[in-house]
Amino acid sequence: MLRFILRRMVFSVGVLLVVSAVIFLLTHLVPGSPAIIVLGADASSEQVREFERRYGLDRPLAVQYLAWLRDIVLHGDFGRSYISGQPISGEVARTFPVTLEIVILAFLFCVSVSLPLGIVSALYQGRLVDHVARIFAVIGVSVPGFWLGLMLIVYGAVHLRLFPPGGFIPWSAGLGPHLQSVVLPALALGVYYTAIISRMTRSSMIEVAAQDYIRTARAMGLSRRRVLQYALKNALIPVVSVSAMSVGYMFGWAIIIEQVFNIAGLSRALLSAIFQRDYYTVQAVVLVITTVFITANVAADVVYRLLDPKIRGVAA
Amino acid sequence: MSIDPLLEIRDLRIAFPQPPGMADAVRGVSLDVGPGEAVGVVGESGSGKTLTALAVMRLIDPPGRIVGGAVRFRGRDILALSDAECRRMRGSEVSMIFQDPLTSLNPAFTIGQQLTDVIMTHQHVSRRAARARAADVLSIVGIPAPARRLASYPHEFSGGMRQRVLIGMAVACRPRLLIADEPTTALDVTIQAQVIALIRRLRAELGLSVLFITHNLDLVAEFCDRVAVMYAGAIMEEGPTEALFSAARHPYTQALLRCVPRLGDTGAALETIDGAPPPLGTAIAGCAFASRCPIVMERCRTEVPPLRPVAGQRVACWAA
Amino acid sequence: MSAVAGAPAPTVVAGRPGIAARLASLLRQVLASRLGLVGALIVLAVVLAAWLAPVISPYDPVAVDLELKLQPPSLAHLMGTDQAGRDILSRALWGARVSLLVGVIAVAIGLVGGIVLGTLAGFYAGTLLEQAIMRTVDALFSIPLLVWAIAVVGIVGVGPITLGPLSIPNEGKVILLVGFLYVPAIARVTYSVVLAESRADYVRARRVQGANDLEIMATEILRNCLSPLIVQATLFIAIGIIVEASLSFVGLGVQPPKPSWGSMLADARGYVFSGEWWLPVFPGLFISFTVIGFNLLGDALRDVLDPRKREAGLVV
Repeated sequence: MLRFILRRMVFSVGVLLVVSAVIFLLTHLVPGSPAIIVLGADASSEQVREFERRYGLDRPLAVQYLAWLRDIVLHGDFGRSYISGQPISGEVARTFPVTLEIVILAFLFCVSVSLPLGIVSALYQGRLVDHVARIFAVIGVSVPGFWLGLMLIVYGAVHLRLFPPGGFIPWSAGLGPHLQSVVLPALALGVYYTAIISRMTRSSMIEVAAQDYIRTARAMGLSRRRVLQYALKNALIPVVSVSAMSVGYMFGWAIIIEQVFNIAGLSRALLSAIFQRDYYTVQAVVLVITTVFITANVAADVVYRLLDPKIRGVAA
Repeated sequence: MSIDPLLEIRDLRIAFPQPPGMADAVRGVSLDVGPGEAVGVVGESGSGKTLTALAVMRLIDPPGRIVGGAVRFRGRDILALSDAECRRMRGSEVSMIFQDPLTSLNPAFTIGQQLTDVIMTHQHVSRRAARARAADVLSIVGIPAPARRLASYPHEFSGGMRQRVLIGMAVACRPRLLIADEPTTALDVTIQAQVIALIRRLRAELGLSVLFITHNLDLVAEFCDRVAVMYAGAIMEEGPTEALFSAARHPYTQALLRCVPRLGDTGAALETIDGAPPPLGTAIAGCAFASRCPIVMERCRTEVPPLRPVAGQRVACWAA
Repeated sequence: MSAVAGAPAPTVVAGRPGIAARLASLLRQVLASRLGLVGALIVLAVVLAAWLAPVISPYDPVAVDLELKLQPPSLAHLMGTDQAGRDILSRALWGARVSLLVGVIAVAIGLVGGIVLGTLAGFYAGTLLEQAIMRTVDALFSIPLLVWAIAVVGIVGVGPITLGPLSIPNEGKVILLVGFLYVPAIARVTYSVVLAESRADYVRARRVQGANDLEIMATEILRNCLSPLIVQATLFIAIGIIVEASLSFVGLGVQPPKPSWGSMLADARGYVFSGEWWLPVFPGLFISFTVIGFNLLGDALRDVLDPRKREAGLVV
């Protein structure tokens, strides 16, 4: 087991290195020096050279890359944005927790709705509740999250006035208003994965229920509750794993959904950086999100192996 | 029939939907099992023997249904039991073990947990007492180091050992009747012998009755007091093992017995029965075996022969 | 959970029916299910609408007429007009073209790449090639491709790509990136099928008959991959439509003034509070219905073709 985790981590670090190199190359091979972006097209070559020296852009690419990596790994320093002049790490530190919170809320919503829904659909397969759940699932998987967000704003904020129309209200302004500002975005983000995971739970339960060991449990007279537990323990293994993975994917979709709600999370950092051509910030945010994503995937794998006794005991 | 049979099955009919209507899978099976008796049920795949057993356990799931007949266990009408009563009965009065030991134990729970669950469901004992009893059960069925093995998961056991665990689970609460559905089919021949020996020993020690379902005539010959031969959902012949094997009266039984090669058969071609059994649920008029019977008569094709006593056996054949 | 042995086996068909007959039978089975029928009808309607958009659009989708701006739905403009006076119905019909184009071509790219990689890896299992391919696939699965698509388009810019006389608009980049997104998922599905099939006896028989690797791969094995891949492709078209809409929503997809459902929703954002509900509602409904159609069709296809449900897992 330990060997597996180690192997996975080594592989992940390898992927991160490759990925960091790719994004670095991408941002540095784009035509048009950042100097021109900041100083304007009619800047003198003197000013350009000065600018490049200040930001270390006159060094060979490989050196720049390694220095960048070293600063990240050793100091957690993503460098400075040449647009704003501010340290990028600060921007990341400010925006990351916002996105993280919304993703976590979306995840909690997802798990607390999709698991019971999937289990009930499986237990009452073919009945009304199953059909209704299926319809909700198809809709949930088909309606784009950002449109759902828009519609939620129209109804929740404009019509019902229950929620603010956008913007992230920090904790410091009060728990109530804060929660109000994150409920709709979390909902818009979580619906898609709720649909997917509820269907998955359902089919996993149905498959497990048909297994021989459930037949044995019933033949031995175990109570309905106990038989359900017997089934769940097996059925939920893949579901838990996929749920962990979905956290990573949610970070990606949060980029889009935050825009709908005007929330100053990672999407603000990324998209405004993109449109300001602040490529170093783009680089940093992409790397951060990729790291989170890889972590979520590794966690999902580890959890899967921990839960399945057949794999747990086997040396990786 | 023995006096005061433990299990009485009378004219059991099981059907399942097959558009446009229902299809019969078990057509009027009647069978008794006496206390301490071992009754074998032999037949090919699709003969309805497993379904009959599942009916006794009330484990026939929709869309299949018991559509006729009666099943009585110790005088009680099984078919009238509520769900809760059925659960109380299963594992404590009647137990069943199945064919695939490799898949019949829950891979996510230790065998200690699974055994303890069965014991605690039917007996009001503390978890600790149940665990101790579980260890006892393991040693009874011949698992070495039983106390330590309680913490093992099913995948850490071989197929034969898993079947022993399952047998242990089945007899842990001292049922009166053990239904064994092809318990050795998935096992090696040597392990087969061990499992049969185990069942035989438990039968003697616990006074168990056994309903032994198999397609293997040899096992029946060595283990069962009486045998019923099923074909296409109906019993063709039934009687004491010795008598049936030496003087079978039904053409199907006779053909079956001829098919088994014996030591001493020299070089002759293996016997087979031409044709194939009708697929489960086919509507059949008359005797089910008529299409393959070497001595078929006109009457056989239109009238179902009843299971009648003939010289100490029961036979369903117009020619007997 | 049926304990009954099951209905009698279907009669065996001698010989292999032709492609046309198989397709017809497939179609019949899919249309037999209610939801499959609905999905197929929706897909047909959307495809026709997109194809016939130039003919059936009541107005020119890019014709600006500020006199008519922000008109509510009326007989003249069934879905109202947007902030530049353009007819929303016409824009939505033309938007269908882009969405379908992106969805289908991206899937095609994903299929080609994924099938090639998966077949090679599965066929040459146990070799360095397999290791290399599957490791790369694993690495690709570890990356949040949506975020990278955003970053790449953002960095490279949203202008058209000029290849000599050809000028490929920004959608081309989106198509490539989304197609790339699909490759690992399809590769995995193909790999698992090919891995199983390449060990089958009929493959050995063909080899004995003298067929070389390429022939075997192309004929026997691919024939078995078709079923799960058709299902996956249909579902991926649905995903592609949402991804394109999301990218266009944040300005990184189809560039204005070209109509796209996503960019129409971006325009609509500013009017959420002023009551012009037709701006966000209609484009969103178009996206939702189209995606629902493809999802229903994909589900129905899966029920018919791939009861073993060989899934691609979370992709986005």
